[in-house]
Amino acid sequence: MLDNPYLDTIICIVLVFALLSILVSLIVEWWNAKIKQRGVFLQMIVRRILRDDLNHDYGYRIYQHPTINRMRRDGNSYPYYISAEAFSTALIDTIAEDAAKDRYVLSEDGKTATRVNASMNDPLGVRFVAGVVSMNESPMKRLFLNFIDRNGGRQEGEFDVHGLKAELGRWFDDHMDRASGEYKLKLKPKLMGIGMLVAIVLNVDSVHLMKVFMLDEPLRNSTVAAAEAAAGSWSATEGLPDTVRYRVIMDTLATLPDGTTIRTGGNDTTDLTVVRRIVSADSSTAGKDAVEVLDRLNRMQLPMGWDRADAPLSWFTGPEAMAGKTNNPTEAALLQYFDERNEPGLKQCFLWIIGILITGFSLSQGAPFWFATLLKLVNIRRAGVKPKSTTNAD
Amino acid sequence: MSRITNAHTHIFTGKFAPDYFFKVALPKALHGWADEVKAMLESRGMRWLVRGISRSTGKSNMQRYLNFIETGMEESQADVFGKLRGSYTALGSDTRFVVLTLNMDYMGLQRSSHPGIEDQLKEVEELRRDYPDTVFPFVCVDPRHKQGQALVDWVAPMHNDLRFFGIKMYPALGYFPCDPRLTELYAWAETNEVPIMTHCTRVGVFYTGRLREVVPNDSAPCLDTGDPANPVDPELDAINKRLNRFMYNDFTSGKGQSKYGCNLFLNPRNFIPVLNRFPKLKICFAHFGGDDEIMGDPKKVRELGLDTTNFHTEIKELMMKYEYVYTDISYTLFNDKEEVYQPIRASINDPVMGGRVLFGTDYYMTLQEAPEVQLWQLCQTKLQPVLFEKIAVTNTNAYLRSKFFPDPAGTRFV
Repeated sequence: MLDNPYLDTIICIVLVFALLSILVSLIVEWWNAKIKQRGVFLQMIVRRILRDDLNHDYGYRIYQHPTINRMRRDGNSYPYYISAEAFSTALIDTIAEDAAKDRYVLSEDGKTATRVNASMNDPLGVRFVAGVVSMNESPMKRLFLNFIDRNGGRQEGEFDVHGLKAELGRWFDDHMDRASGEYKLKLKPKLMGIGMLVAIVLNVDSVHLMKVFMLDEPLRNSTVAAAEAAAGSWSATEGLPDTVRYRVIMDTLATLPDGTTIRTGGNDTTDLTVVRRIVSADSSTAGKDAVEVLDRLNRMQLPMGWDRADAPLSWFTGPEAMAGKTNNPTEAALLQYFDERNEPGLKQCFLWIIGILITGFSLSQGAPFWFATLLKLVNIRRAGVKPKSTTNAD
Repeated sequence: MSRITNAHTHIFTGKFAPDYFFKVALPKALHGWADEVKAMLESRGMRWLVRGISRSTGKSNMQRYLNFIETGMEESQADVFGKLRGSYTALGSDTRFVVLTLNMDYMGLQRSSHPGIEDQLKEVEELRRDYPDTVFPFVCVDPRHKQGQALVDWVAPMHNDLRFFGIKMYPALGYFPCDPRLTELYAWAETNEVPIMTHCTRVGVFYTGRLREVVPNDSAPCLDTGDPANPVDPELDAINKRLNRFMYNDFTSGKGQSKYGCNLFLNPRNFIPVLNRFPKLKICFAHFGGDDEIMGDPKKVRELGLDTTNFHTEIKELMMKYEYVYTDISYTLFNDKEEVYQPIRASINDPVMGGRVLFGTDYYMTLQEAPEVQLWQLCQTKLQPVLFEKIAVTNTNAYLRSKFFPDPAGTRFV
């Protein structure tokens, strides 16, 4: 076991980042659900893969197809998920439709015009082939012709519409695999924005956290214990979805005692009450999970949150010296640091901004990254100093 | 009263407008943000917000404008049409609608990700399948999309199959109506008596690009007279004089003010070379020039200081001279002043042009002024049943009549 205060401090910071990253992920997912972001993104991707400037915006049109249109919960949303089956059905129908144009034929006396659509009686495969053939020359047309040729060619009776459907489905799935990576990339700026917001709203100053963990041994020890438990849960749940792993970690942390700190008196170091009240107003699962994360952070006695007696609010309300109120030299050192930080000054202000920016940026890396890092660090801590080889002694 | 026809309605949604569409509403300095403005207005959150405000606001001006935006932001053309039709069926009317499509694909000659005119037409065709006896679409043409015989080959089957019933033009989006690339289309339309509808007020969307991109020379592109001895139409000189006034103003300096496009491209006199060559072309100049010009108060003209032509007067002159020139009172009908309705009544009663004034509302553009039902009823009240029936039944049937659709009054679609 490696007992190094610097390593322990880093482990504590990483645990805080990991827990706050869960909060950021929950907020991003909640917001995306509110604005139906997934559906909008999926629609954008489908339109992009099916856009053909020389013919139609087939992506736009398949969203009008009943198979996909009926998946919408209301006129204000798009489906979050489209199966390969639904995609290929809608696309084949849409292109087949182009071969089956309506005609209205006037009766002899001109009093009645009747809709005629001769090709509607043709098999779907025949109509699809005719629809593709009727397209203007374009890369998309060539792509579809190749699909047709690979599935029995353009001869009636030989064309395998089921094979085409399966191939279109695979083509769609390939795009969707890439799209999920793109979606994560698209979320990055949002994660960064929400990360910054969380850092500011909860006043999570990384520089301050690091300093306090260095000076407050009981707090460091209780946080390291929580970190080891969290890393253990992360390791034990490998292969499960991230959301399940977060839940297991939160359940594990709930069994641990509250954090301890040598800092007595003064202010409640972790005042997240207001934020908690706001978040708990949302009754969704994400809202409940977010409350749980906030509660856990609160119980860990971490130096975050807004308080009139602590920086940066103390710079405006007037700081209150605390170092002289204790005879414990270790606590005095910690309180001395707090007193210095609570005094208004350019250096303090600069350090606070840097601390917030570090937190915001770190939270945008996502909880899986921080839990994986935490696991590595905890393993290093558990391994301790490498024992000397016994080979020479032999 | 026989079945009435509203000869001027729109159901296209904002989805068919280019990404940069809002250049028409933003000052030049903010043109770079046009894409973002459109994306924002199309976003789910904004639609929800607009709906919410629209339903809760008590200010009628604001509410009307929000109704208009909300309708334009509908998901599909079927949704917009549902609102339009509902306004009439609620009062027990089985009105037919001429649905005018609009090709905005070339309004700025910039790259855009919006679904194009082909998708818009396809959606209208599908709507017509559901309402074959109610929806009578016109196909919007633009010489930059298709031209010459290719254009005819594109529109002819649509009419032959009775999927579309006329041609829609919107020259303010960046072309002259006398563009020689439209010659074959005009010849085909004249031969087959296919009706054409053109926008004709100084207000509306307009070309947002550089004038030089669509008029590379100092002369407006103009079809010939068909007479090898005198191929240049005498009106071209006047068109070019007008063009030159625009050429050396803000259009080319890049300082914006592209709204001059409505004045430049849409001037009714730009159609004179067309009508001289194709005098039997059935063409309707929409809006009767606009209510302010009917009242003799062409404030836009005064503001611009470039063009003193009164569109209303010009249209009347064309109607007197060419027997197949029509007009409609769409949008203009919202203004209930007698200074507007008195000249309209006089025109409908006129023995020469009275048979060529059409009823239309310009839904959903008019939602900025009043609900559709209100406009329809206002028009009936102001014109009284005899005149209203004349413009909404007799005249519109005459206008819609073509070699493909010989009996608009009697034919039922099933």
